[in-house]
Amino acid sequence: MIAVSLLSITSCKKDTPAAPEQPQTAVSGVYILNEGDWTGDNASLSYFDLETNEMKNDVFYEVNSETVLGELANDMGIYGSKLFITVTGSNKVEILNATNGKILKTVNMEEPRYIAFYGKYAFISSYTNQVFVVDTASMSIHTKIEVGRTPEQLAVSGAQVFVANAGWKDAIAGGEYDNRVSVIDAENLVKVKDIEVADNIDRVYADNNGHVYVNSSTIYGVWPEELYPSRLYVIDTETNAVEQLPFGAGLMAIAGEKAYLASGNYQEGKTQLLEMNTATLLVKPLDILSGVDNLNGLATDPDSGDLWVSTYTNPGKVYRYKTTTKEMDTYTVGIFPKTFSFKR
Amino acid sequence: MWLSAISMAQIPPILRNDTLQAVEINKQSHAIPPSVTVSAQQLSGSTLEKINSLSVADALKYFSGVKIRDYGGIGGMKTIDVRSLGTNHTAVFYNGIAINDAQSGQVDLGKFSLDNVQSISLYQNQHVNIDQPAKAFASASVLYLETKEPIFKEDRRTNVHGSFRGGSFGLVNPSLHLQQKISRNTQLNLNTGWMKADGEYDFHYKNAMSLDTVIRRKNTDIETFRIETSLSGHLADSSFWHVDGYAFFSERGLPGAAVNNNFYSEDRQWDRNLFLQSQWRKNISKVYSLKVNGKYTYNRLRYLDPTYSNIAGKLDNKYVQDELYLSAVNVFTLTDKLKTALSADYLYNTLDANIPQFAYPERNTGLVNFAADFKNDSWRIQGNMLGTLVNEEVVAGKSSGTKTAFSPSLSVSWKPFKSSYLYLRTSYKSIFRMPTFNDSYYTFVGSTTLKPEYVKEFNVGFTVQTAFDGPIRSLSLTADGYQNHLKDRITAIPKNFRWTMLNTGKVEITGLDIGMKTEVEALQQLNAFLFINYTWQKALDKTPGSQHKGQFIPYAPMHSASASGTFQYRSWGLNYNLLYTGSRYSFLANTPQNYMEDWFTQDLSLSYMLDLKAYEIKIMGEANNIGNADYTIIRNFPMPGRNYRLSIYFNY
Repeated sequence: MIAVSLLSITSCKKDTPAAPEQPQTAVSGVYILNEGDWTGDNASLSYFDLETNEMKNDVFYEVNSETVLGELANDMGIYGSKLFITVTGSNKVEILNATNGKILKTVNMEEPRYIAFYGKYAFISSYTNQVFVVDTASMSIHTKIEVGRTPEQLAVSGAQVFVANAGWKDAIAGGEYDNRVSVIDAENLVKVKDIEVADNIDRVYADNNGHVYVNSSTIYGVWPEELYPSRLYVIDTETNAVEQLPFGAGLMAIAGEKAYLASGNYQEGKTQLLEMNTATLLVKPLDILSGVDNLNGLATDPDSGDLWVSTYTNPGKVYRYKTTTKEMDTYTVGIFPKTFSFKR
Repeated sequence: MWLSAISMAQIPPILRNDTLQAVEINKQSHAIPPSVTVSAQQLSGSTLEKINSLSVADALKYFSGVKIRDYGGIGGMKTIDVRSLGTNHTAVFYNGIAINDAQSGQVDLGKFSLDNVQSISLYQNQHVNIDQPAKAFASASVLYLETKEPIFKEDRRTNVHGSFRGGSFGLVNPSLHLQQKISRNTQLNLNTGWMKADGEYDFHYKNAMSLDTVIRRKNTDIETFRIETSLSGHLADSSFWHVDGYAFFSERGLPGAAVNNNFYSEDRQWDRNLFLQSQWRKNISKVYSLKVNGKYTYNRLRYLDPTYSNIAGKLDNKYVQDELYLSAVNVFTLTDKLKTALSADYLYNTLDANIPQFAYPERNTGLVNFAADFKNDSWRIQGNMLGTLVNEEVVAGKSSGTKTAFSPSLSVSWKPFKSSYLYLRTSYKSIFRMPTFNDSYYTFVGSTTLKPEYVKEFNVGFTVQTAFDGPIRSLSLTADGYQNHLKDRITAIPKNFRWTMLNTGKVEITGLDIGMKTEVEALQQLNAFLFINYTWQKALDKTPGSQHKGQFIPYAPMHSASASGTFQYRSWGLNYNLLYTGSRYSFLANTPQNYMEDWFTQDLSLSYMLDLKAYEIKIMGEANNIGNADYTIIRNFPMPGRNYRLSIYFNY
């Protein structure tokens, strides 16, 4: 999904002069963020060098004199020359030099979740029901914006930041789910509106065709009932119209006109990868990685188009599917790999 | 402790000795294990008093093949894991009747004070006496806690014992024990204790190469209040009856995992555990005797996270369990060599919780067991067949339905020489554990399609005992080699964008427990009791197709050992304990990230008894973890360093 935010950033670069200079060199490596397990304090960062084809694990720990990354790293993104990592359980955001992985600054923040960038700011959702706006130059919290309940992922489309509010922390305590996407004006740093989508929405992605994709996670009743199965919704950013697709897709990776999706119910009871045309929203299943039912992250290399897939495994297993040669490589990384970031 | 998850992205979360009639080394001997014909271990009486323990869990650390899963500190949960089968495979019995937890299948042994405990015995498979309820045959191993039985000297009708403990962690722990003879045939036993501690201690956290910081463990406070009472007696028809009432109340802080940049938690836990149990037994004829048990249990658990990031600003969960238990044990002593027992038990369990989308399960369990016990001068052969019928119903959703199972066991022991106390033994048991209410119905995670977790246990061992006239009064050596096969292990795994409970794992545990005990009497008034236990174990994941196949299961060290020396000279007592746990992994993947270093701790205590004729006063000083070892049992739940306790006991 970081690939996604990166892509969306690149795509709106022309409208956002404040964005830092993106070095227009080729992608030279892939960072892989490993969540680590609950109470484990063992999140880690791996790095795959595309030139030497070597996977290096525990990069953060090694480069930063054995500093612990923390408990449950959730998301990361490269912006300009910096790599941002949110560590939910450790209440912090690590800002690294994207070239060598060295800590530039550690910003304390309660339960940070996902990250997206626009202009000179990083937008970071937090379980405090706020989006923290971090100045990417000074690396300090610039302001906070109140959003919905249990905000999760965010995505940038145009000059707006879309935040999916799940509200599951209320639901788990007997309250209600949230069902809104909060829209933030990324220029003026204010929430401008809420768009009602569906209960328990926790994933959001944006393409170049003016679509924002929002996914609701399955709401379970008393076992084995699925009260509301996961669904993917498409917001037309022009009209704010919301269209429901007949399946869910917890993970998406968008590459131009093409998007890869991971769905748990496109076909009942099966996890599979799909390919979508972002102009027509037509979908077809892919016959790769069938049988792998513990997917945790999806991304595409903006240069080569290679598809990277992470799984909920310990030690972590990631797949690299070369779209050109249709070859599949697998690599062993840290515990529960999740997010990918492509370094230029 | 409670994992909550909506989707994957949203990670949340005893016994009167079956003494060996054959072995008459010394009636007061510490060195006699509760049985030599089956694999068993026991700590009792004065050893138990001297062994630097606050709770039953502390004392169990010294048993071989046993690991206590300790979350650290006075209030940290402490559960037993025997031979790496997991906590759910050991049943806990209090005065012959099971203590159940249908919700989690785990009993926090940290809650049981040693103040009222006479003996702790652990049997592999089951008790050596077959006159047990069917439930006692229904787990891979059984832990028996026996409370103190009143002994009235001469014409006394009242005994009063009082104790006061205090020390590190701000510990204040007074207790009072009253024993009253009500009539010639009736006696009352009352034990009550209150404990309060702030529980705080320092631990080390290494944040980076040069940043080893000392951090205070906080929100570790605990307050408990406990009343245990028993009334027992003989009736005119020579039948015996016994009634136990137990009440435990506690409030504690849950300090949580100590992780990078997040060392404190404000979570709280409240417990209310109440039970009333009764036993009646009568020898109806020379051949037939009957034992009837009944019990009602009420357990309430409240868990509060007061900093939960939702609108309510908290997560406040309450769980209430009720259990009704009835059991009848029919014993037929057919000849002086052959005894059979037919037991039938019935359990009714419910779980209520204030969590959304809850199933409100209700379980009926019927257990019927037939056991036979043959013994002559050199052989003892025991066998049983247990039939289980479980039916679950739910208010909402789908229940696990009905399950039936038959589980046999067989044990054979042989004493090859008449003159030598050498016993060879072997046993086989097939058993299972039911999925707990949490496994089946925990909101969002549970799965009612779970099968039970099956275990097959094989054991081959020996005990050799010798008594001497010299300074070494007795010597006992025990060794057991075993292999356990566990299949359909219940595990939470991520699948199709959620965590779900599945029967996936297969585990094979090969182990060797070796123990040696000796009693030494020198200089007339110097007595010593020494023991040393060592366990070698390979608990490996054997799940077909698993990426971890062939690797060690979590928290299963290859080597562990304990040793203890108790010395008594005149009025002085000294005790030294040593505990070693080898390196292990905290997760199925045996990777450097999941590696946990080995540790060893040493405890020391010194006591002095002042006999003032009318009453006795004993003073005991304890120093625990004297080497100030910095260690953890459960990853990121640091254990306390060096700590002290001072206890004063008063007997009248």
